[in-house]
Order: sequence, then structure tokens, then C-alpha cells
Amino acid sequence: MIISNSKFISIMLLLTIGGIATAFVGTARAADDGARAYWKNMEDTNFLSFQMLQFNADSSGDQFDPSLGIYPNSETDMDLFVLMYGRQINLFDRSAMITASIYGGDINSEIGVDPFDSTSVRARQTASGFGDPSLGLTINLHGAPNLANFYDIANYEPKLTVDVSTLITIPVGEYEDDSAVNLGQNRWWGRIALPVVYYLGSYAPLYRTSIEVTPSVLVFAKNDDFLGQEMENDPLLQLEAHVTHDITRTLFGSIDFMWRKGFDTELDGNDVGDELDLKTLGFTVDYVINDNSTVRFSYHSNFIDDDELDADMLRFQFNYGWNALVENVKQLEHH
Amino acid sequence: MVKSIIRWYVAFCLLFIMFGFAHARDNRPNILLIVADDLGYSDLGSYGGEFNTPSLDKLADEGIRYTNFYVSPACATTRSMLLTGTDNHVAGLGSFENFIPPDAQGKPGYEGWMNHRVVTVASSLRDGGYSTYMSGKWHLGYEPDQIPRARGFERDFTLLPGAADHFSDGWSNEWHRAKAPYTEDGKFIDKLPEDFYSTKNYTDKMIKFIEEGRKEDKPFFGFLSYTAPHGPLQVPKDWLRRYKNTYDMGWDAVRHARFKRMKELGIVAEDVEQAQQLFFLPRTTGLIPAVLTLSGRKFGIYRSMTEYMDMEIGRLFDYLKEIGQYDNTLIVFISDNGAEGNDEVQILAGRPGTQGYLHAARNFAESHFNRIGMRGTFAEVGPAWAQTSSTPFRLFKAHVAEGGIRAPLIVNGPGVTGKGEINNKAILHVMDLAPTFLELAGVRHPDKKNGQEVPPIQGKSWVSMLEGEEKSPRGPDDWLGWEFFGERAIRKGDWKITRMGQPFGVQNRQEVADWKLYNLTKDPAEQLDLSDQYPKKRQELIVNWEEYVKQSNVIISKWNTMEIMSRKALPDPYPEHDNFPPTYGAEEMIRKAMEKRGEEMMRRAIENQGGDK
Repeated sequence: MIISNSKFISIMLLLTIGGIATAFVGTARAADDGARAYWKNMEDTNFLSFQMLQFNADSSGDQFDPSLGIYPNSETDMDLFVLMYGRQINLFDRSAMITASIYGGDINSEIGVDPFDSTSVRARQTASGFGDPSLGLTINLHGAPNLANFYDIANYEPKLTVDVSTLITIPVGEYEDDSAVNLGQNRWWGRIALPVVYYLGSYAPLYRTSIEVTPSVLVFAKNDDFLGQEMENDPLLQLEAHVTHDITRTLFGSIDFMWRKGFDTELDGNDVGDELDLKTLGFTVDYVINDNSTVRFSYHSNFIDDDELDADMLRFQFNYGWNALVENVKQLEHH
Repeated sequence: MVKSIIRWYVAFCLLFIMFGFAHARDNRPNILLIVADDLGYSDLGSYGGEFNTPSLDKLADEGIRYTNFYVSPACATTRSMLLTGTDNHVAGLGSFENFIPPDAQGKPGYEGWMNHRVVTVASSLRDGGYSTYMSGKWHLGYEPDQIPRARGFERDFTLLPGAADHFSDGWSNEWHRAKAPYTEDGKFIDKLPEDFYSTKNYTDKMIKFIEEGRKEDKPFFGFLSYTAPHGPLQVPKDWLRRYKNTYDMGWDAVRHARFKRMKELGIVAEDVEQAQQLFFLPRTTGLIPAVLTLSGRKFGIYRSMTEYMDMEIGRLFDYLKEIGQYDNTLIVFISDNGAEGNDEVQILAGRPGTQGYLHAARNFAESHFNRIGMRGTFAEVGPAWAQTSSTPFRLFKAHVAEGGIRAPLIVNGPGVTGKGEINNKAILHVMDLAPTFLELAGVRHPDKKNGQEVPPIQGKSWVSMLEGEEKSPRGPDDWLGWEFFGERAIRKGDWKITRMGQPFGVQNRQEVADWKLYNLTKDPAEQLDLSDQYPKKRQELIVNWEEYVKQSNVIISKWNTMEIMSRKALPDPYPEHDNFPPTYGAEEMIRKAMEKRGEEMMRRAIENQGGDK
């Protein structure tokens, strides 16, 4: 049997794309990082991710998180897109990833003119345009040294990986100070997370199962002009979890769970609304289209919790990954 | 009245004596023959290998290692000889069941299974008062009258075909028998225990047979026929990654290290050279580390299988010591042929549209490098590592070059003198085992069976050698012969002639010119053809070959499989799994070069056959 490069490339890219497809770190807080977001790729692997999200929140309570489209006594529809670029890099000989993302879209909401006064007149508010861009850095602490080359990839059989992931969001997105509904947040915010992935089964397509838990803390600067008032929020604690399993060699599924808690709001020093306490459960399926591409579909809902809030999310995601060396190998096929 | 009393008294005494004899412990030695499957010549620690094989190394330290022990290039042919003491062409394995050439079909000796003209050493020993046990691989017939129970083994747990999944799935390496047939005590069984692992279960069964047979107070003959480390490379999970990166340096370095150790141990002489790397294999320095680590991973699993087998052999030895029978057991350890250099699944799979292809797709398709060694995979080490296992020799299993037919042999037991010795003088053959066992047991090989003459034993007993009375059962005029799929060889004293198929020897069909002559004492790796310097010696051995053909019923088929199939029979350019990772075009260059060479050889071969296509 003679080695066929095309077969090699398939396997090579399955390895790399397996992680590429999911690398999405907090680009829009409406969504989670996603299943297999912290799987590792070969150094210098690039990826582009395009997501379309539809988020609906129907609230009869006082929970408030504008970035999630949750306002007291409101009905909100968000149609967002997220575009993200990521690159696997070597940092201190550990596997690391940098990301840059931007989101945008439309928000339509029927909400009180004063969102913290449930008796205020309700009015339709809308926003459209781009949100705040984010920059992210994730570095592995345990279980995934830098995967510099094919040799490292060939010997990579992870059992437990622990990363630290950071994200900062820059407040340059669309923001109207006289509207409660905006795509941008008019303030800096950041996140620090500790993604942990435990791998079961062989690290080979069809046999991979993982348990993934990502606790994180989001901290927010002041918004000095929210409807003419200064808004402050407590940190938001977030726990994201996935159980993923290869259904076929090119298809995996995931059960997804997310718990967000905290984010008490003060306006001009006065507590308003309830703290956020949102649990969502959902699923993801991810299909490898070819050496470079995958598509993913997710649905999440908070149906397990909170009678005063109905929130759900649909997400369609297309991922494209490439590694220059692997692409060059493909070119040799034509020589 | 007095006479009557005397008669009764005499009768009573006779009965008493007979009863006493019947219940006296039979002090003849037990015989335990342990056969490894496709284990290379230099793998064991005691033969220069880096493998940790303490049980066999201890056996070697306490017994005798032999360096000139010969087998057939393949398993079934070897097994037919070791059980009968006759050449495989006499015993029915002139060719394999599925490869019998058209002009040999239906001819005696070419049945494809061990025929009924020959008598096994197990039958003779059973009839001579031994308990006879077999556990492991058979590969000498599938029908009820061909299985171990019918051929002299009173107890058995047997894998009938040549190879199978080592776990409980039991997939066979033959497309027409997807599930490998097993027998236990003569009955066919269709299900293996869920926790089955070949090497462990074969050992368990041998211990069970010996234990249950102890009440009979008879010596036993145990044939423990392991399937390790034959492909598929599979080993229990705990053993899977023991040598994950041990062989990242590639085969060149390992071959050289082994050769050095073999010289230090005295397995090979100081002044000889090892075989050059096979022409179609790349130098490891030209390959990327990923290729080396993944090919090395396979060899690491092969090593784990061998070490697991050694552990199980140690368990069996411990049991024999526990029951006080170790010191009364002649233990013989051999491998059945050289290491495997071909890819059996590739052969099995055949081409799309064949049954073999479908069988492989169903049961052995998984080839991801992180799954190798587990259920559902059928990896093999490939030619580069097989030639490493064959250090210092040329080629491997399925060839009559030394790498295919020279095997490790360790003997220890009662009456064995010169313990700890490495015997480089004796030229021994697997056919010698049967006459050796029979002589030790004081049992005669029958002349007739069911009124028909039984072919005489062709091997030579080692008893005098083991007792230290001689260094070799063979003198300078004795020769050994081989024919395997058209490849031919004769060894006589220091000399050997070979005639091998494309692309390893034959350039055309000029029969005499194709024989090559080697002096194995000076050149065990068969690197220097001395035909021109010693034409008389070569001619002398060719005459011996002709004697061999007559004496051993060899049919020289015009369907020379190795030549006809030369292009398809070429092994992989180097070990790899599912074509990962790339070598940046090197493999393509090799492929094109080989195709060109193969086409040219085929063209010439056809011309020399008068255009017979």
C-alpha cells in the first residue's frame, strides 16, 4: 500500500478542524463558547467562524441583562451574526489560541420606556448595526503542550486538559444613550474562564467522548450613560458544561448546559431589578463537510427553570479552517 | 489341590505386579513445546533484542540457545513438520489451502491440510502413555477428522485458522470464514468468553489441562501454540501504550543496536555483517518524525504482545514449579517463522467487489493511529520493522532467505547438559522435534497406519546432542531443503543456495543462473553471491535440491506464485497506517520506481516463458 496524501490530509484536517469548528469564546454573550471549543489544533492553524443566532426572550419578571436581550417585562427578538477569526499559537510551549470577533445584527424589543419600572408605558425599541468587538487569549495549563508539528499531533492523546481563557470586549459598537436596547454596551467588560475537558475513549473519530466544564467570571466596567443614568453591574458567574460524543466519524452531538448567575444592577447607586439566574439546556450537532469545513446547529432553552422567563436560542454556524503546511501538502498531490 | 493353590498364588502375584506397574509413577519427562507466532529471530532479550522477556531469557540462561534452528517460511508449513517430523510437502502442506497451484491440485502432499498418511507426534505419544494437550493455533485443517482431537490431542482449546482477532470478537483473517472457528476438546465452539484475550486464555487452558490430568499420573505432552505476536497487533489496554515513543528513532538505529548486542552475546560472530536494508525501504533519516513515531507505535504494540506472552509463559513456569513438575519437563521454545513483513488485511481485502474486501470493511476497517492495537483493527508491523526483527538476516516471513526461516530455539529440561550455552554449531530443523520427543519418551514412530505405510520421519533426534554427546545431529554431508511458493533453498554445512522470486532474486527464468550461493558462516545475511567463485559447490547443492524434490514430494509448479504475483506481492514501502502522515512525495517516487521495475521484470519474465500470459 502506497501512502496517499489525500487520505493523510483528511485525517490531518479532521484532527485540526475538530477543534477549529468550535472555537468560539464569548464573542457575543448571547451564546456559549460551544462544545469542543477548547480542543487543540496544530500550531499556526487558522480558523474562521460565521454564526447566525436567533435569540428570543419573553419576560414577565425583573431579570435584566441587555447583552442577552433580557429586560424586565419584555419581549425581545435578536437576530445576530458573529464573525470570528482564531489562530492556534505557541505560548511558553503550551497550546494557546488567540481570537478576534465581532458581532452585529438586529434587536427588536417591546419594553417599558423605563425598563425598571414595570408600570411604565411599553414601547417597541430596536437597534441594528455592529456590537462590541472582542479579543481573546486561551492558554493551556495542563494536558496540552504546544502541538508544533505532525509528530506532536500524532502523539497527542489527551486525557484531561485545563486551560485559562481570557476575553476583553472593547466598547466601540452601536450604542444610543436614549435607548435601553443596544448592540454595544458602552463599557469595557472582560471574562476569565477555566475550561476543563476530560476525554473518554480513543482520541480518534467515532470514538471520542468528552465531558467539558467551563466555570467563568465576567466583570463589567460602569456604563456612564444608560438612559441618562450611571449603570453598574456585579460580576456574572457562569458555568458552561457539555457532554459530547462522536456519532459517526464526521458527526458529533453534544448535550449543553449553561448556568448564569449574578449581574445585580445598580442605577445611580440604587438596586434595580433581580439578579440574573438563568439555566439553559440544549443540544448541538456538528458535521464535518470536508477537510476544511464543518457546520453546526444548536438549540438552547431555559425550559428547565424560571416561570417568569422564556428564553431560547437557535444557532447555525459555519467553520472554515486551514493550516498552511497542510495546504502545501495538498498541493504536492498535483506535482 | 497344592497345584491349584500354587496356580492361584502365581496368578495373584502376577496380578499384584501388574497392578503395581499400572500404578507406578511414569517417570518419563513431560514435554512442553511453546511456539510463538511470527516472532522475529532477534526480538527476545536472550537473542539480542531490546524486548523485556525475563521468562524466556531465564529459560535460555538455564538451558541452551541455538542459533542455527530452521523452520519453514510460514506457519502452517512449519506446524505440519513439527508435528510429524516429515517435510511439509509430504505432510499435506505443499501449499496453503487457498494457494495450491493448478498443476498440484489433487496431488498427495498438496491437500492444504495435514493429511492422514502422516502420524503426529501427539498420536504416538498418546498411544505411548502420554497425556496430550494442545492450546492455541492449529492451521492444519478444519474438518472434524483434521482437528487436534482427531490428530492425537486428548484435550484441546484451538484456534483452527492461521490468525484471528485476539479478543472475543473472533474475526478470522479469512474472508470465507468471517468468524474464526475454535474447538474445545474436539467440539466446535461458536462463542468466546467476553474477556477473552488469546495469549492469556491459551495459557489458562494449558494450565487447566495439566492440572486436571495430574490425577492420571502420566507424563504430558503440551503443545502451547500462541498466536502472539502474529497480526492483528492487539493487546490489552494496559499494555497498549507501553512503548508509544520508544521506537521514534526508527528501524535503522534499532537494527544496529540489536546487531551490536547479538555480537556481544555471541549470537552472531564478531566478523560478520548484517543484511543491507532492503532496497525498497527508505532510510529513516529521510523520513519525518511523524512517520517514524506512528510506524514505531506498531512495533511497540508488537513488543507488548511479545512481552505479554513472556509474562504468561512465566505464569505457566511458575505453575509447573508449584506442582513440582518444572524440573521434569523438557521445555522447547521456538518461533514458527520469521517476522511478518506483509500486510494481511491488504491481501485479505483484495479489491472492491470481493468478499474479502467486504469482510475487511465490516470487521477490520478501523485504522486510525490512535485505535491501532484495539478491537476492530488489523495492523501489522510492515517490512521495515520485520527486517529489524530478523536482524541480522535478510527478508522475513514468506521467504526462504534466512530472515524467513531461521528462528530462535531455547531448550531446557531434564538431561539437557551445557546449560547457559549458546550453540552455534548445531544445524537443526523443526522436523527434528518429533523424533526428539519420541526418543525421549521411548516411543516408536509407527511404520503403518490402517494398513498403509506411514512416511518415515525425516528429522533427526537431538537427544544425543542435548545429552552433550555431540554438537549437532547433522554432519557436513547432511542438507536441509525448502520450497515455498516457488522460492527454493538448500542448506548444507556452511553453504546455502537460494532461488527466489521477483523482485528478490530471479531476474529471468534461466534456471541454473538463478541459483545464488552463500557461505552462511561468513555471510549469514546472504549478501554476497559466491556462485562465480564456487561453481562446483553451487552445483553440488543444486544436486541436493533435486534430491530434495524427489525425497520430499515437491512439485515444481509452472505457476510460480511469487513470480506471477510479484508486483502485488511487494510489501509496503514502509509501515504506515491508513496513509498517515505524508512523506512529501517520497512514497510516490518509490511507487513509481517499483512499478517501473515490476513492469520490466514482468515483461522479461513473460518473454522468458515464451510469451505465456
